[in-house]
Amino acid sequence: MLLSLIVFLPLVGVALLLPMRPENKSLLRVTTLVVMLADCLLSIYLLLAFNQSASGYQFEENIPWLGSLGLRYHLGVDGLSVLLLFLTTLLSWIAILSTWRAVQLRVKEYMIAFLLLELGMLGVFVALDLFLFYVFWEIVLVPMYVIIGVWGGPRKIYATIKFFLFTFIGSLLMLVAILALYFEHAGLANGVRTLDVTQLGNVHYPLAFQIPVFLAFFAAFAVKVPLWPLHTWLPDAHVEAPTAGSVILAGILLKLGGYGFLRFSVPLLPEATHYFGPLMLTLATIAVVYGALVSLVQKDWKKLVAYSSVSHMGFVILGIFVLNPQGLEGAILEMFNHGLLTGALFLCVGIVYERVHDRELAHLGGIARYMPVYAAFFMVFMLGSVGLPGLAGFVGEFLVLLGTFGVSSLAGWISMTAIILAAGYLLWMYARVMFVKLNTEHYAAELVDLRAHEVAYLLPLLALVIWVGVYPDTWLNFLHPAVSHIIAQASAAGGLAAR
Amino acid sequence: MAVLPEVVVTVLAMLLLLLDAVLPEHRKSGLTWLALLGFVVAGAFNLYQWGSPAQSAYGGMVGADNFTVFFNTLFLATAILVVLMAPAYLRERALPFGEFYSLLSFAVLGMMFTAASTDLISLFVSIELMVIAVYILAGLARREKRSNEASLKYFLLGAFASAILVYGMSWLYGITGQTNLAKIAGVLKATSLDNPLLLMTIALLAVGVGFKVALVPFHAWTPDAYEGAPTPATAFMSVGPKAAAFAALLRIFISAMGPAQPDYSLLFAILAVLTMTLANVVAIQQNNIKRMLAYSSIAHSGYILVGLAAAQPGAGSDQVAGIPALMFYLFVYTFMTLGAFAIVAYVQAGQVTGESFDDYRALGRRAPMTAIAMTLFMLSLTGVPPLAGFFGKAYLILAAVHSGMAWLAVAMAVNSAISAYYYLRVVVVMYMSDTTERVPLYRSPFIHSMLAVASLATFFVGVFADPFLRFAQGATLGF
Repeated sequence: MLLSLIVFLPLVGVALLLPMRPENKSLLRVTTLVVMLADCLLSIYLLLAFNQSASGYQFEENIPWLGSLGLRYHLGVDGLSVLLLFLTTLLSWIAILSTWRAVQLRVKEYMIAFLLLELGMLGVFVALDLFLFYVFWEIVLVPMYVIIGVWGGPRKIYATIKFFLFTFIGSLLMLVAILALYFEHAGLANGVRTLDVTQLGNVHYPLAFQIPVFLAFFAAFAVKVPLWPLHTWLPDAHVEAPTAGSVILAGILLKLGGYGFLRFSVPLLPEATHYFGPLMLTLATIAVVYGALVSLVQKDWKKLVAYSSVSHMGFVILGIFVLNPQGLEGAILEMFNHGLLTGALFLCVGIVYERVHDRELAHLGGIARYMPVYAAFFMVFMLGSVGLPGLAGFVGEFLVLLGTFGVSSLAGWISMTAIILAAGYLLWMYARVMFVKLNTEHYAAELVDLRAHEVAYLLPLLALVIWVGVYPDTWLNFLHPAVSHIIAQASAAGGLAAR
Repeated sequence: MAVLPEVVVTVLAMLLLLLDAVLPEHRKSGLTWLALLGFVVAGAFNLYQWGSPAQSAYGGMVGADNFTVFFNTLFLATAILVVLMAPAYLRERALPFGEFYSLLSFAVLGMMFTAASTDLISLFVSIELMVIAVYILAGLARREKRSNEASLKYFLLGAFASAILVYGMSWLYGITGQTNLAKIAGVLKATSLDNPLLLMTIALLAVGVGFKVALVPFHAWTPDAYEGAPTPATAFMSVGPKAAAFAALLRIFISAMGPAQPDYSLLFAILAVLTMTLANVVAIQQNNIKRMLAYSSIAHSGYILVGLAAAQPGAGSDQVAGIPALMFYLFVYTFMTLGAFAIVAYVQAGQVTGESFDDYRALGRRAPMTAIAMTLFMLSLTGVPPLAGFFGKAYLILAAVHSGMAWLAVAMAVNSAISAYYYLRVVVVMYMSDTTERVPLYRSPFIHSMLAVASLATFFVGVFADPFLRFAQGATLGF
């Protein structure tokens, strides 16, 4: 029941909000925050109660749902989902707190959209029935569409429709693939009709079947990641989204794609994974370098961070498809880190934007003079994102590169350059915004240093960034059984293909 | 009594006609209650028959089994929802209550007998009973030019289609020498199927019924007829007669011509793809919301047809066959489409036209609950989980994949994505654009309760789809 409670607690929040008066904004905000904090505490309890050495899924719930079709309400977590679950509940309340003052328009709808969004994301990470997974996957889409479309910037309608169409086309192709899997499994397993992940993996599908299914899954997951060349919706969506929307988008929504590859594509379709492995590594390497190069030339602060996400998420895909323990653990940790760091960077951009309503890098300068505490926080997150040893970003990228060199030193060398480029654009950005002396008197008065609630949500992120950087084992220990299980599933069939 | 629900509706139709003539003008709104009562009673009798052994009446011309119970439920639910949405609109436009309700009852009667027919002759007569009543409904606003145009276009093309249909039926009779559907199937099973005459028959029947359900390229009447007809009539036309025509399609192509399924499966698959693609692409360009919903309704005919293309007659007990998918989709489609049209009627009731997208500007602020309901219907029509429309589509896609037509499933998926564009436009207008205009919105307990029912159904048939899936599966066991 614990997982259902975590997933559906936001729905309780929605039920509480519905009868409230829309004018009573602070009550709406506090209720949402309390519900989300409670959910976060529950997920921390889950982290503590989780048995790190056991393999397989824990806290399982399994009851019939669409019984006549053999579909079940099956939830469960392994090390991978537990970390992402925690990240989701953490960033959700942080996102709400970050727009405490910025959003004054239709607060009630805003809070409901975020609660539903949280519900969808949590569901994706714990669903073990592919159909249930799909339902949660699509639930995520609508609140995000509304969040960008209603509370977004000037080109919000273009951005939000582009976001919706990109992801919706990908998802629908995935739906066809899921259903194909349903019948293929029934055909191979004596007519047992199920979409339960734990059972789907026990059957060996022919390569000719795996290839189209892999491509359809790819359409859904690669758009979400987003992998070059399917990333074009991301900068638009980020630039137009409100700060909290960007935080959730970069922090969690992008992880859904990586999670999908790890949970479904690789274990269920091992031969197609090997077949497409070189292609995936190539695309990932391009994404890593391309994202970094494009970040170098951005004029908009938020767009720069958005493109750096393309680069960092490229590392995740790289780590997944090198298919060795270092790569996979690095990829998962990189997802976690990217959620913390890029979430934090978007929050930092939002803090300044809220004060001066400008994100043009050429207009900003000398902020450190007015906001020293902010500058300190921002520096840690920026350096973490660069990959400075001792901070979170380094561990994930290091492990991914370690894994990559074991498979293809060419991909390794090329991807390495992205880290250098990252140092280039992030340090340049920091220097530009914080130190360059500019005629900034006209907004100097607006640049008040961090308020209490801003410190309150940046502090846990800061602590986690340092924790992961200094002692990553706390987090990596969750991953060992899950990762070795994925590797076993992927290589069992790989060996079969070689024979 | 196999035809008890039909008898109740007949009595209701007569009674409404009679009372309309004798009641004084100011008492006529009471007819709404009478119509509601009649349909609810018929619905109760109908549901009571669920699970009882198949019966037949009128010398084997009509039958009563789970299949008819399913469709009667659909038709009576449609009738009840239309009766609920109509009063506000009718009163505002000074349209006659009594005629609307009695024509509605006659049309529903025709629909019920269409689904119950087990003979070509009764099938044809029932279809005519239904459509003639609907032609008049479309032209009920007789002082409005658009309504006249709608009625005339619908009538001319409908009559033409009926002629082709009856011509096709005569061919079927010519080949088999039978009019009873089951006997036709028996003859077809015994004879060779690669008969060119049979292909001709299939083509004629497909064209005839294709007109009624608005398949491309026989859809040309739909947008004009839907746009011009009074909105509650449009709502009814887009759901009731369409569902009945699909029932007729099942009766003809499954009950009678099931053995020839391999011959027509591909034909319907191609028609389905044509229909949904053209309708979706054209719908994007519409600025009138009724026309947009008309094209959307054509597109949904295309989706529903996938069920027939993927049908496997004889596999009735198989849970993923196309026929239950088709019927489940009709069930889902009824609620979301009626809901959407009810909101059009609601927004229109206070205005002269109220049909353009601009009339929905900032509806999210002007009428929050209505806007939420509309959002629900639009998302369900798009096929976003966990709403009912998603499960309908998923089930159809499931059937298409199962019958080995993955390309059809992909076409349907891509089309859903295209349709997202114009459905979301409504949401965009309601929530993301502003207006200074303050058009007062109409208040009517009827339409609000109707919207409540439709939106709850759209939500719950989605989240708890299983009993409804079983309902559709149980209804097709006879095939």
